[in-house]
Amino acid sequence: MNTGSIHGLTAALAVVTLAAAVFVGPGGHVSIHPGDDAERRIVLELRLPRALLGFVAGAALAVAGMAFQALFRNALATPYTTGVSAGAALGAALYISTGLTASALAIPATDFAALAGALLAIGVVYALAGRAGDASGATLLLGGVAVSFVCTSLILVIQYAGDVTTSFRIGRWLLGGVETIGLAAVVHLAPVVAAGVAALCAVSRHLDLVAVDDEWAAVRGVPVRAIRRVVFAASSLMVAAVVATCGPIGFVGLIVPHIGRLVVGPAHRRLAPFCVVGGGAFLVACDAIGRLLLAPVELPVGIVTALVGGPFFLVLLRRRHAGRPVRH
Amino acid sequence: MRRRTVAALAALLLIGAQAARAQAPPQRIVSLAPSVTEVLFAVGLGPRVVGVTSYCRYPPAALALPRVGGYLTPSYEALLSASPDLAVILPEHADIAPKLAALRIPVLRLDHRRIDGILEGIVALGRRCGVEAAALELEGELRRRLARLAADSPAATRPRVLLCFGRTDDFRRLYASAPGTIHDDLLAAAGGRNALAAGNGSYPTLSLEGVLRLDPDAIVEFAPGRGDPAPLLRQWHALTALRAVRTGRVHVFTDEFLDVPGPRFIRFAETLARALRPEPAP
Repeated sequence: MNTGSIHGLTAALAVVTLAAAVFVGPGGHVSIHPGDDAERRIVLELRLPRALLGFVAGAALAVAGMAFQALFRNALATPYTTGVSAGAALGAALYISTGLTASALAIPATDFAALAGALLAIGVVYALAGRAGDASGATLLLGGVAVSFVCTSLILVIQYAGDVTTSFRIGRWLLGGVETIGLAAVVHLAPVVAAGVAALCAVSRHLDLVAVDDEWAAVRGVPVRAIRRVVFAASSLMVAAVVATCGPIGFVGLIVPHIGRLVVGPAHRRLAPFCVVGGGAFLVACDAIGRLLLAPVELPVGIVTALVGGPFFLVLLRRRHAGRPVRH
Repeated sequence: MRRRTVAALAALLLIGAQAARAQAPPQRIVSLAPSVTEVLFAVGLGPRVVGVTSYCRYPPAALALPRVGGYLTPSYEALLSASPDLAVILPEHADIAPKLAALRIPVLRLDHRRIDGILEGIVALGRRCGVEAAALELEGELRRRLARLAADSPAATRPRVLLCFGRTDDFRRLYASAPGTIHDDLLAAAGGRNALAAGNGSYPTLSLEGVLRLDPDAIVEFAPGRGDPAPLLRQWHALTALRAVRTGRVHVFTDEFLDVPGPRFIRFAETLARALRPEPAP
């Protein structure tokens, strides 16, 4: 099958997944023509925004994961490698520990606090790497890991010292999720993600060379420093917005790019569109499974992404690359 | 212009109708916590409850009701399907409240973090749902029983008690309840005082060394759902360095109701009081 057909098939699968996520309810009940007011509201106010938010978040995480894996030349890099998730979690935890509940522009204040934490973490890591004159990204990577550890420890202190209510609220935030009401979250997040994805797609051709070696890329006319900055800024800011809105949803950003490499190959200009569509559809599918499996009890989507994606990836790995390491 | 006036009037009417509906006693109530479900049933609102969480197991009638998801993870679809005209929540649901507002589901927030909160919540719920007499009766009964407990436990004989809420079998880690928690309130109501000082978090973790240093007069371990308390008690009996062990003042309770801060808190306090009451002199 050629790349065009694979992209077409992925897009078709994404459309089917989105439609199923919007119209299928508990017990396989399909609501294409909602019978009563409650059912109509469920489809329009809950499922549609939720599926769209899941798609936008999944796409962003997968593309950012792809970009970081290339930037750091590390198959284990994730969108959260630079500490953005832990920074966001610390921001949210600090806010929750104040006991306040407020919102502005239909966005809960927790999201603003999480965004501030994420941006602070990115700023610290970037300043650290800049001072070290980091060319390879090693300082970014290590700085990100260190910032994550510090933030996680501080969150534990807040949880430990706080009352039960604080611990419960922080715990719930850390589970992440794409359940939302109305289209406000999608409307706020989509432009940020669209800009980030567009920037990463624009430089995806150069990522192939940067992923191999900086000098090698520079010799072939790639503006390595500029590309690194664009990739870091676009990915980090996009992921900061996603984490602030949805909490830390794991696994999508790690595995979807690898699945993409096995399906469409390692060339980033083919991989990036696959990650957008595949990552979005994957998160929507996982969220729908989490919503339907034990309905009305909902499994947090982060649990489902690992449970569904892990075995799927292992099967793919065994079939396509028996004995060969995964390239990034 | 005329169209605008008509639209404004219609909007006003709609708001008015909604306000009127919000003030009418709710008929379709959803509970988002086990303790809330217990209060609803205790004041006679059981027949109006149309949804509970998957953790709501008491009273038995609650088991037959539709589930609307977990304690902190409600399913908004299940909530909308139940078409509630009131959702009763706790402070732990602070992040869920705005979503309920977005779904135009009226909310009543109770606070079950302290005994006073539980008592005030009973009255508030009764007022909102038009069953004030039943709520005041329940609140009065609970206050009378609390007063009886206070009268039976003179201040001079208040033992220093360690409230244990879970531990490893070898006592490497033990989770205690500190001042400021509902369990501390219940301990005070039962005639004891907390062996822990305030200011170290609500549920601090202690090591065995920490427990030995505290050397409380009595130890109360709560292990809801653990069945037979005897094996847990035997583990404590090995710690003879503790005064509470030597004097036979270690008590282990495994009843299910202990971890639900609803109206059955009084049973919790009375159980605790019976355990802590000093043995009559021979």
